[in-house]
Amino acid sequence: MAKGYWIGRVEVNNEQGYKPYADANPAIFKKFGAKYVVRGGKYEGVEGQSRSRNVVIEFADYATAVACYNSPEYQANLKIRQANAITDLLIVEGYDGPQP
Amino acid sequence: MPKGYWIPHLDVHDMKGFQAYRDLADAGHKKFGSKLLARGGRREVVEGHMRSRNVLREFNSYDEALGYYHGPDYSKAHPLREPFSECDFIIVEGCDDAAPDSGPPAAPLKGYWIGHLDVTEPEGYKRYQAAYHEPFRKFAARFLVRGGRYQVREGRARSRTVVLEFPSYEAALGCYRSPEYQAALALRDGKADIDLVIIEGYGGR
Repeated sequence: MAKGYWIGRVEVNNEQGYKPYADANPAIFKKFGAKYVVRGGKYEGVEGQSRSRNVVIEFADYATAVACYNSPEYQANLKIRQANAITDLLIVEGYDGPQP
Repeated sequence: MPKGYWIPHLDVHDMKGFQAYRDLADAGHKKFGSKLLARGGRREVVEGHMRSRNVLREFNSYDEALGYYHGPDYSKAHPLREPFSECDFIIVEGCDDAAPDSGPPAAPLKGYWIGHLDVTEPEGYKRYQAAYHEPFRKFAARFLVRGGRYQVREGRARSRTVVLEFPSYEAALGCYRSPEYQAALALRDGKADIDLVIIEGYGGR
């Protein structure tokens, strides 16, 4: 079955305010079996716009990825992030076809 | 070593024109062995702004991900994309610390055989014992209980109890079903009465 992904790009305005959000995430992600694929590694914005933090999180499937976002725990935590950062966040279904 | 990722976000306004780029770029991806993780699946923009096509590709390393982008192969493909689309594109290094939990990764649950037996023909049973070592070794089995002291405190029990641990429940089942063990099992037939269960370990979850 195709996996599900969160693809987020974030500009933090207030590091101190943002920290409680980041600290609360692992417990929520763990509940939904999420895995960090990308989290604060080196990056290069080779074209167009990019934000300074990039995150890719893998879930067992698309439905789980959506359910985690919609969960009361994440929705509560989200408010802390939104007060302290600008974010673009996409939930996308993985590719399940033949590989090159 | 962390992997590398391409994350292009695209708006394509001429799909027919875009196709030539895609064909050439895909040939390069094949050469670099990148893996397509997401392209053309369902999607939901839950916050902010994202372009309409979102692709996630995995490379063996950040350097390879950059190498293909800046190298001669992609330099030929790139100009074929520009007239037909707008793009925000980042190349990013993966995260090696994959588990969001700060603790160690959860160990897979082990698998166990729990056997209670009465040996009815000791000489014949020894031939079975000689034959089971190979499959047990192959499936990394470990005796946890084998012929130690015991007390029957309630109910009844057979005279021998054996507990074998396997790295996983699947390994425990796989061992039992393997041709090697099935051959050994044939030697046990008629030499012992046995009750055997194969069970998954407790993960405390």
